[in-house]
Amino acid sequence: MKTFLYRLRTRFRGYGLPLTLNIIGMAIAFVAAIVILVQVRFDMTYDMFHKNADRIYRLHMIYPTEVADSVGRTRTLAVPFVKELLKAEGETLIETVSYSVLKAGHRTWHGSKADFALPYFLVDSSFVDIFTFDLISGCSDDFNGRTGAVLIPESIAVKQFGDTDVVGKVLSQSDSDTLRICGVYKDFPSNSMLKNYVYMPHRNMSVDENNWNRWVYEVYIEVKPGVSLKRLTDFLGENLERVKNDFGEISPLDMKGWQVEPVLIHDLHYLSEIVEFNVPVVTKESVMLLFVISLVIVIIAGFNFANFQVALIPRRIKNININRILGAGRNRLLWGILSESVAYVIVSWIGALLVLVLFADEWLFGTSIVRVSFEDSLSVLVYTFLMAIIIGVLIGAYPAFYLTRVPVQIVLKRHLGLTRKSLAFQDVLLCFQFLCSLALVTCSYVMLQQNRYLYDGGTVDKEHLAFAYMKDTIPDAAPLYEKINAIEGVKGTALSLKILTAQDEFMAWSWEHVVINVMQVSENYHQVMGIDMVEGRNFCEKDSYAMIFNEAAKLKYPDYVAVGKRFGSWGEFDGFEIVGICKDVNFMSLRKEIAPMAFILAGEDNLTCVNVRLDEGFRFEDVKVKLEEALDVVDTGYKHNFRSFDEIYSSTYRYENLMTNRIALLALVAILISVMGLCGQVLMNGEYRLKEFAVKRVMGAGICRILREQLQRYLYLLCVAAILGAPFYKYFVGSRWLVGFYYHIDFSWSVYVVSVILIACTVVLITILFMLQYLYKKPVEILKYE
Amino acid sequence: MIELKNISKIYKSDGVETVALMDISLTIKKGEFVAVMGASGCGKTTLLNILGLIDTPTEGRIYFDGTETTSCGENERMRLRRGRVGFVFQSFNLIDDLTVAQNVELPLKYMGMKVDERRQKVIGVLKDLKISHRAGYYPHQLSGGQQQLVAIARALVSEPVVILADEPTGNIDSSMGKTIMETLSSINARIGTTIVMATHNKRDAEYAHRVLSMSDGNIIATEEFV
Repeated sequence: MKTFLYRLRTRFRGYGLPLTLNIIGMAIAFVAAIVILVQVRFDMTYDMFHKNADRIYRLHMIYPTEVADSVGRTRTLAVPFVKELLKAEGETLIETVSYSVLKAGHRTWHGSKADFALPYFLVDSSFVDIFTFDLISGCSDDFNGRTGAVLIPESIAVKQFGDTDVVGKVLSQSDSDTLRICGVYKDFPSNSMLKNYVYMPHRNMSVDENNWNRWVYEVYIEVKPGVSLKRLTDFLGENLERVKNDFGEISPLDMKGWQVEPVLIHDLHYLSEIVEFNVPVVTKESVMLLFVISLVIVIIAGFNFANFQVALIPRRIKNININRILGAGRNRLLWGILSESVAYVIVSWIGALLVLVLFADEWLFGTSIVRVSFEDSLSVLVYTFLMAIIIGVLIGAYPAFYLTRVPVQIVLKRHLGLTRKSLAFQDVLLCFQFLCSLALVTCSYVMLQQNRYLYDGGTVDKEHLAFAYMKDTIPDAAPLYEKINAIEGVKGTALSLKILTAQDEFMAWSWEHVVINVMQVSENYHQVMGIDMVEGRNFCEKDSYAMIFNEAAKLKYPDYVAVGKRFGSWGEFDGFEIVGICKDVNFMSLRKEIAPMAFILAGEDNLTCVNVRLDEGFRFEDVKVKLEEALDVVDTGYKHNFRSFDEIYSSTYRYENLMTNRIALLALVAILISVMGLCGQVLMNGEYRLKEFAVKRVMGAGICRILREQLQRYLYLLCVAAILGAPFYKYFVGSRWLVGFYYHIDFSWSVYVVSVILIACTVVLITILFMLQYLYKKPVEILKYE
Repeated sequence: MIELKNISKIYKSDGVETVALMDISLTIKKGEFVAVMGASGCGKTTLLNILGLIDTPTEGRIYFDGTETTSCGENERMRLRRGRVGFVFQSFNLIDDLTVAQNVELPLKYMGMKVDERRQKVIGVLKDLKISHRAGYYPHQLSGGQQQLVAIARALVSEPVVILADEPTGNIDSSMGKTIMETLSSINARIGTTIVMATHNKRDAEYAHRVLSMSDGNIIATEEFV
């Protein structure tokens, strides 16, 4: 330790600035890496805390592929269907089956001090056997539909009752229903789909046991040990065919083309097609992308440090080898250099921890999709510490071996500069750094542009549209229109069954060969929403059974969708008249193709979603309260909440936004580290070439000339990086990433060229700033000491 | 060729003044071989630096080829020096990352000469000094004497009017030192290049036409040989 501190002092005296820059750069890289890895760990251990997490699956039904993605997969099934599905052989493969209604409902509960509102989950008694409820008090034996027992989390017990010893207390009481606490469970970690709510036993399960129409249950199964996913999938596939054949007549559903899909609970976190509680979930690719970026950042910083260590070789070579002459063993010196290098990186790691401890809550994890505390992520700290040691060894390896392998007599006889190999090594490191910076700058810029494109493209006029759901339908909409339209700033009001972006709440309608998303709307809906007609006309007063399709529907089903044709005839009903074709509107997400959609004219007494258009120049925030007050008067007994469409679209692209922001931030971090590394490199290079500059100036070279020579080296390396990076840019951005979006910006080389120019300008600026101090030194002063 | 009038040079460091040259007046004629002798620290190198326009005096005037340079800025002095003054240093001062040929080529490069012409000249001068077989070597692959020959080649390649050599044999063995001195003498005799050499070796000084003896920043004696 003493030796290390002595060396550290010596190093700081000799080249404090470049060393400090490198240590800070490495620390910043560790901060970024730890933040990302904590997030990555959060995602990778999602729901893995359950005892048998690797054996718990959720069953999904996959509809025929021609149905739009948002309704192509359902997570809710009917009890008799599942029972039939798991009947044959099931006992040999399946340990436990649980039926639950995990969509949270809200309820008011009795606390010891006051009543409190908290969501609840409706589950069956097997649920607590499959999932790990770590009970602090009570037991789960009474948890069944007969007893009316409930489980509550520790946090709620403490908050509402001041204690966890609350077993037996009444949580809810009415004439028909008394619910008592039968157990207090330890709070679930935040990386679980199970929330810390009240878990209530489902009391009407028996009613639904033979009801083929109640597709409301999420089904979780725990398979027996050793049963693989393939075995399970095969079993479910075979049985589904049997169910289709045997029960085709009993079941009212046409199951042609349906499939059952078991998904491991951990993988539910990555199912991007399903929107869980309206929160878009994460994808495996994005987690991997973040992981790779964190590594790239650490590598950039590592390369900086390696470059610095190589630059130190000419200064250290004599001292190290004098030690060899004086009796120091080669291995001892080698380990000394290596441990010094490791120590620098560990200092950076400790610095990173300090930054995290001081600022974690304020801003570092604020950018996370889910807030994560790094105190819970000890494994990440251990992992990054090991990473620090490995990086330290790798950084120190080349100088250590080189410095201790050079023949002593040569070192003592002559002044040894950097060898061609060392210089080439430095160039490779710099070139790679430029390549990484270039990749991050271009990627973040393209992601930003694509995200903006998705957000703005093909949507309704979201800044001037707002909506709210009513408690229930109202018999007469006239007073509602009157009240709301009277508000200053409101241009028009229309009703619909759902909000336009309701995604998986739309009804999927199948008629003959057409499968389509359908939404019921009022007559003036398209007018208020600003959805233009491209063919035919809007709904009008005389219409009774009328439909308007979007362009995507017309394009996909040209034989069925045309103005004047009738659609959906059934029995004596001769169907709806198609009165118009409207422009495609981004009613879901532009990640996928806009799906065929139809608007059906419905009576206003059937619609619950109020859509309001504001006048130009009026902001939603200015009229929100007035809108809510007006709706409260018409639809009494309910607190209405108006929200802008802007907010809804923002939440649709929330994940992309967060990813883009984070990657942009990381790109900035990487660039900052690269800049710091380049500063250190230029400083060391200036120091190393001091004599060379003096000699050149004596030979008649001007300062600008020498500066140009130095710049040429860096710019040449940047050019090499740009040429090497171009095919990767074309492949990953142009051919892989952008095509993942159905609607995307055009691939452009200009982004790449601009990024190269930006980095080149940075390089020029840094070189000029840091090199000039060496160039302006008097040659006579430098050569005097030779 | 070069005329110094009442030149003084005083270094100031941490409030301490060190007199390097004291009121020196001197004329170096074209084609002359001048040796400057004296003990270490007597001001030989400072005198050479001022003669070569890489340092400026605290007082006095310098005339280089008739041009008064005392008031010239760094860039102007560099232009005057470029291609007309060759330098040979005691520690060679070759650039480690450049080969022998590249080192020798440097002054020509800064003069703006074309590549082909530069190459021819470099090959020519290396052949003259019998080190053309080392053209592709790096400095650390050469002996001290060979490195000094390269330094002389570098000084010579631009065909300067004057070569300033600061203890050119100081870092090499006596036999190689003799070769170096014979080379410098031959250049002076054959081409007529003016040479000003700082040395503390009497044997080396014998090659010169004139020997200036210095002590404490003053020229205390001048000895001329015919």
